[in-house]
Amino acid sequence: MKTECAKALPGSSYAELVYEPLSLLMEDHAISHSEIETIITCSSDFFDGRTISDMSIQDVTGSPGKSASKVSNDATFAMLYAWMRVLSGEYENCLLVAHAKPSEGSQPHIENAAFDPLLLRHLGLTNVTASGLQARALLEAGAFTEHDFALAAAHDRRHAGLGSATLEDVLRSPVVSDPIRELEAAPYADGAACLLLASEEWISKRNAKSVTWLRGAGHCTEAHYPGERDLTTSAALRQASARAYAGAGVTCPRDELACAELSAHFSYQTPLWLRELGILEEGATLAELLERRSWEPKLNPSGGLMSGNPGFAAGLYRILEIRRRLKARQLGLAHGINGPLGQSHCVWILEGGTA
Amino acid sequence: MIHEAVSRALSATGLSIKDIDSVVIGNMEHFEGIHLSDLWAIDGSGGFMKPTMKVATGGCTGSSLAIAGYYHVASGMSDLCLAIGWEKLSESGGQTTTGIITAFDPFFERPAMAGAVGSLGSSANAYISRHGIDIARVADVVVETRRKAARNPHAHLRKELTKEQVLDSPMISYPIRLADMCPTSDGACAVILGSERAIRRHGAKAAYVQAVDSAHNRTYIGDVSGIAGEQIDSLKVAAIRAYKKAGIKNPIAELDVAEIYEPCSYALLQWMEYLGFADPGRGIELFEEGTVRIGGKLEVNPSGGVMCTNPIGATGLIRVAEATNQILGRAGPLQIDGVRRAMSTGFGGSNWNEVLIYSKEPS
Repeated sequence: MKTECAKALPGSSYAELVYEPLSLLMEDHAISHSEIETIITCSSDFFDGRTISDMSIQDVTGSPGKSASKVSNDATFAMLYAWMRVLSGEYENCLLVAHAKPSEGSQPHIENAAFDPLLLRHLGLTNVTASGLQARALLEAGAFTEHDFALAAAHDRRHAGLGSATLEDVLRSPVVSDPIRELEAAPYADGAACLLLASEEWISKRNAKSVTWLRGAGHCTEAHYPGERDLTTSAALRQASARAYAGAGVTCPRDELACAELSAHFSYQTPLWLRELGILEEGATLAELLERRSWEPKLNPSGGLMSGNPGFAAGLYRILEIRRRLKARQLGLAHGINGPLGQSHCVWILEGGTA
Repeated sequence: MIHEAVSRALSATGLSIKDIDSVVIGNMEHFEGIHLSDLWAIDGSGGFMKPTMKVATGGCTGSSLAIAGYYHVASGMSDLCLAIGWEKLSESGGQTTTGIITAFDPFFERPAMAGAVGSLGSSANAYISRHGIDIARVADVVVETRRKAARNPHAHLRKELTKEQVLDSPMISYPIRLADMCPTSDGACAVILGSERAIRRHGAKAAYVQAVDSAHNRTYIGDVSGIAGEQIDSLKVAAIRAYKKAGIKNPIAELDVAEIYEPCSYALLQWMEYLGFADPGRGIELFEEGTVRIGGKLEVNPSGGVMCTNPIGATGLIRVAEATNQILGRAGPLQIDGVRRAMSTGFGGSNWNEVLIYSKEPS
């Protein structure tokens, strides 16, 4: 369950942000706090402006007295920890809760604080300025064209139900960090989301409805210093997806996946991530994938991060968007990233349940 | 600093970074002002091109990392998981409180809660009033703790103190004097958690994890039971569950060493009571009777504990390393003979307490 992402939710505290989706989840699963065995929360102290940022949502999640922990990465990573707690056999279920309220902070300052304080920060690098370098590197290498980037933005904007969603609209919008255009940037949004993970035994015992199976996951992190990376590739995403595909027995993701939700902070990342995920063929254009390979409805059906980027909660929104669309036995992919330039990736393969 | 800790953990176990399947790392990023610090620290952590995860739960970050590493292995997701905790408090402008105070609600709590010292002071004050404990008696706890730390090559405060020096140190939040309180330190710690199969394959020595658990209280101090939040029942809750998992009925008799995360001398007394070492108000007697001193029946914090070394994100993991080193016979000058069972704890904001129990043999 998730809060509808909004640019700013000034009337909500962090706890109130979480309360809404959590009450819906508990109602949906007909579960009480006492039946939730363990809890993993996901938040960023920088986004919240609060150290130990999980403290503000402890009462609302009902975690006092329970074994809990907090992952400070994208929620797709936090979901791994929740999964591990169930897989260990010590717990039959685990509640995963992620929240972020970027509207309360100055995002360029927060993004800048993610760069090395001695070597990079004073260059004024932020997510958008660093990403401009990556997008430019992709163009210079001839990997993609500005048309691919604009097409990805227009596609996501259309699926997100946003205005100014034609290719021409995107190409006409001002450049914010060469070659990235204003309408190619995913807007920050406030949001919270939650999910209950459980063992197969617990699910059958409860005769639970609306089940989604977790079939595979992989995560991987590469170098921090952009100069040490080939910015036109993403070795971390290749490795993360290889692990996820191996776990789920996926050999040809382009044909086997019913849908995919990616985390792209800027539209240029969409074709890059698709290529590294093995969905977009080497040398192919995004248009070919969307039209000839019929990926138009399969790619980011919610609009991906263009529909709103709620910080670390973004990955759980991707998971929930896939979960809600999967029919029985269909496979879907949800993807999360940490940091600028996609330094760290997590890939999940989900399968629609029969229940 | 992180690289140094990781290299030492690898050389102590005879493993190479190539053998490590995954990395869990943590610190509290407001102290150094580095956002996404797990990504920034990738060159030192050895997490390059590996699955990595950041866990950050406040003061107990270190123990939470060990627990996360345990679940990486117990779930079958990793054979060998490297857990790294670190903090460089010298870079927090000498004002750790500035980093801690933001944990509290900006409207209701922040004006009254001066970071860690204020809340520990009110808790200690309630504790000594309830049980009629003379603060001069508590000075002995500091003297003994410093005596232990003086032997520890990894400790931060290694200077021994006399009882008079403790009682002469400045009062910072009644009844806590400067000498009663943990310092702000720089440091990193790395611990490798592995499956039995992987450890055998590499011919490494390891202690068994018998139990892990954690619990925390409500966030608002007014919701916490007892005067001024004195009743840290979350530690009791976590300990009872962990003892049950490990089959421990009498901790004093069944444990050989305990590394307890004590933010100050008064807290150590309270924590030992919640852990079932002594009845309420009688924790001080464990020092007076020698039970927890060097050579005692259950030596507590042979390393000198948190009162002598506190690099926050590493502190809970240092407890894990010190406790398991005792089992492995790697504790050097701190080594206690014949340790078969050990315990470590973690403590942090919202009275977040974690308990880990280890043994020499499989359970």
